[in-house]
Amino acid sequence: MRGPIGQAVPVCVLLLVTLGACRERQLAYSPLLPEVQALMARAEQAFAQQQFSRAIALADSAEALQPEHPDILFFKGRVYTHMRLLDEADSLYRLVARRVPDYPGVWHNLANNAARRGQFREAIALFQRELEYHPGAFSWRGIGRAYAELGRPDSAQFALETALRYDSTYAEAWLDLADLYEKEGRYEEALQAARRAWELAPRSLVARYRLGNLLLLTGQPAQARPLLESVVQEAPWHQAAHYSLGRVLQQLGETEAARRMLERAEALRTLQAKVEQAELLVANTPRDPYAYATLGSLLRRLGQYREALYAYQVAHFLAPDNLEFQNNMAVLHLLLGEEDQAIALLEAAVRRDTTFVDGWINLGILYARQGRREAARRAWEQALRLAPDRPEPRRYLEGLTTAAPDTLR
Amino acid sequence: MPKRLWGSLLLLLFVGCERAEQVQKPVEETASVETVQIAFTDVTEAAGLSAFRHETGAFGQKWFPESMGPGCGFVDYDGDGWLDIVLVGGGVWPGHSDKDWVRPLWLFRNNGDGTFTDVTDEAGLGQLNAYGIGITAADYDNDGDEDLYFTTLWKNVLLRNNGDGTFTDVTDEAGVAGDSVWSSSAIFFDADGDGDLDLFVGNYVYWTPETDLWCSLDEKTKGYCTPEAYTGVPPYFFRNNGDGTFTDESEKAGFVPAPGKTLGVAETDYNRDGWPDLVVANDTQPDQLYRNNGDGTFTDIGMLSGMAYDENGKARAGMGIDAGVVDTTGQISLFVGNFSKEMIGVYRYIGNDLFIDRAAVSKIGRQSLQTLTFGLFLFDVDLDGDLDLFAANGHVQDEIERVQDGITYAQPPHLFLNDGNGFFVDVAPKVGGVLTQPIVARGAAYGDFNRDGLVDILVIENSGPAHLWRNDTKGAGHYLRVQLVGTKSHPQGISSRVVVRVGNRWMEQRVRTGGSYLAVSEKTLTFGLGAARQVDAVDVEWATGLRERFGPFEADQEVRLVEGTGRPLETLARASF
Repeated sequence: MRGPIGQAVPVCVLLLVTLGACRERQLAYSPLLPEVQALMARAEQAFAQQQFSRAIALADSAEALQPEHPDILFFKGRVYTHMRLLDEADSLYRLVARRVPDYPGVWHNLANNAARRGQFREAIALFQRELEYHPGAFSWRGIGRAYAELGRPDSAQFALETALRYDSTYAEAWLDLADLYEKEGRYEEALQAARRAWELAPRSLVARYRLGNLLLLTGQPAQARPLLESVVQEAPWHQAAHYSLGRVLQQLGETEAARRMLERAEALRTLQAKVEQAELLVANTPRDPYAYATLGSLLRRLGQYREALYAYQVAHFLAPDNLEFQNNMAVLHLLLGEEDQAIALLEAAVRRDTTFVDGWINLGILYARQGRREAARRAWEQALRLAPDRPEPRRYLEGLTTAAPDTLR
Repeated sequence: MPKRLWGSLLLLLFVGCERAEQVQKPVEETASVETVQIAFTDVTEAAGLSAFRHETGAFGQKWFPESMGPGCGFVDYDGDGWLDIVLVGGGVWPGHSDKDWVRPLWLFRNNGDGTFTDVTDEAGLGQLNAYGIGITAADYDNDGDEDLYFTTLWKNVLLRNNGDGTFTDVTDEAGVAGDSVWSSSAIFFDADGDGDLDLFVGNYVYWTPETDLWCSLDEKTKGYCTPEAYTGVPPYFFRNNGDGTFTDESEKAGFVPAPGKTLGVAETDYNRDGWPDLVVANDTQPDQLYRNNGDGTFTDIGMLSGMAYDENGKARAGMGIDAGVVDTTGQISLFVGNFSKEMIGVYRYIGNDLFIDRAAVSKIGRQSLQTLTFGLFLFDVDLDGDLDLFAANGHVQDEIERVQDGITYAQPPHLFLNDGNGFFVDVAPKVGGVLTQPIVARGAAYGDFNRDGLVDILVIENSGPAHLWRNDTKGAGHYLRVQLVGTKSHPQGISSRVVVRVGNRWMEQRVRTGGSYLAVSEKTLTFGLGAARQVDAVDVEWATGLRERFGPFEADQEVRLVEGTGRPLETLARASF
């Protein structure tokens, strides 16, 4: 059997971020001071880059200048929510709601957190509270998802259709509707809804997968194939797409290709199952940095580098002195082609602890990759001084005149 | 091979047309869904079963096995034609529980008047020492009486029926104890068509009190673990040597390697090649379809066949499992009980070793999303001629309601009524009564204990009582009950296929053990005939390959069909692989 939380609680991070970014301001409170605005702009930028520690530090600086300002509290709430620190986030949102009950998005975000805890009835009540102040598609969609979790498909359908009446271009709501229809075996309606979502968001992996899978389920494997192939190509970690593509190939009579695809899906499933376990652990122990590090490690193995980086960044937020987390973040930045950010992280790490041998070794590798041979030499020499028995820096130094190593430890 | 037939009547080797006692006759000339009033009555207390209570030995540490049992079943241990009841009592943790021992197995003899007598002690089962999990039953030594195979948390137990109302533990001499691991559902079947029964035993995970892990829903209090945290144990396959002993051929026959974490197993012949295949439900691992290669070996084609995962390629928490024909395509469909937020799995065979997912289309999927299904079986509740689906539900986490809205610990069952085309509606809320009563169900079995032609239900709760629900449906259809007597095939006809022909309609079932969860159901087949008062023919495809036609038969009776006494049909050509 499976634990009940990890699979069931909808994650509405996108909604949160969107709300935070797009809400319209109704100033029932003093505006932000110019210097505070500047700090908050930098905080938003750090948040967008998932630099949680930096985002919170900047927001704290802003709060020192304008204590308990709703905009700052709400921002911090969003950051904590994104890190799945729901209790901390809720405390901040509640403060905002107490001061400014009609603050845009505050009830919505509280509702999302309730849903993430599996408290769907409370979530619906909170979404409805948001709708009292700010009727709109987002909260109706949230209500729809919560009703679906409670096993009330009729109510869910009504809520989702209402969301789409507010915004007929809301691709995610069309996808939710497609999911609802699919579960009821109403494949033709599901297909229409999924196709609408895909037309609105043709680059969306989710939209392509859902439409492809529905085409498969409705006996249209040839039409499903290009969609699923594009998902598999773009997201080699996408286990479900591999499985569906395997089934498509089976139906098209390409038996050997189908077998290979299904075997790949099975290999991914094994790893994905571990990821789900790690996510469950994170949900249950949101203040444990090692839970996040475990999740990050598994996501990295799965090839989901951006998501792995997110997990390590939360781990780093929770344990800022852990240099291994920073080292792993640097590796992930490198894997994502963000070499400068990797170097910046390692430079910060060795500044924090000048005896961090692995940090010096990896910094040397990154310098060498950029052709900064002298900087690389200094980094490896430093590593060798700190750990004379370690073979890698000696080997790298010897090879400095030939080829630079291209993989971090 | 020693073969003693069941009682003197059977020695006559006649095609019996024995009329079953009519406790309640259908009163209508015709029966249709519109006029049928499905009803079940809880007769547990009146039947004398209320003394039973499953024990888990729980003492606050929430050890994993406590949440998973028990099984139950209908057997006819004394061969009198009346179904007796066997219930798994569970166990305790010596040194931790307030009791040092509880009965791990209970046996109740059917008195033939709606009541049962606890005969556990006089049957020699009163002194068993085990942490009981599941049960299956069949005549493994072909001596004419039903034996019991009892799965436990440690070594399993084979109890040979002595033919005098008592049993003897012959586990060691038969060689079917297995290692000291947690076993779950087991099934006797004739894997090789030689007339004696082989044994497949599903195993769950490696667990001991010493290796119990700390799991939690909230990281504050310990909860019951889920199997992801443990290593799975592959199954056993014991081939019957025909002399009362078995040989472990798990690997040789192709059953291992396997992921383990098995909770359910059912027999079917999905490709109609005459060889029994096995479908296996695994918890958080892909379900399996073991195709019988006809040469003593099996190949797991679950993944390639499309029955191993849900429609998104996700392995679910497979519990109980069953297989049967439920629609006019005549193809086999599979049904798998899963966790809450996971649909009951429904797959239909489409040829070429492929299945399609019909969970959502069948309408079972959406209706089963909020429940956690353990026991699950097909039976014709209203005797209208198509198989309906019963699902026994109950969560494993007693604090689930605290952490997740919409999911409860105790849950009412589902009774999915088939419209004849493989589309189902859960009529349990409409039927009401016991079918709306939330319970923490695990094993579930079917059988006509009062021989009125209506199939009754036995359900057992975790850390709770057993329930005997008498089928009191009004206006149900006519029926024919079929019991097989093998002469070259197994004496109980196990692994044989029966097709009942009524006009241009036909219905098929198999004589088998296994299915559902940790349970064993009756081996006499009940075919609903709807308004028909006569069966034109009954075709039997015996496990040995012989095909015969019997009948015609009048409706509303129980017939015994003896191998070799029917009109021969073209013998099945055995497929070779």
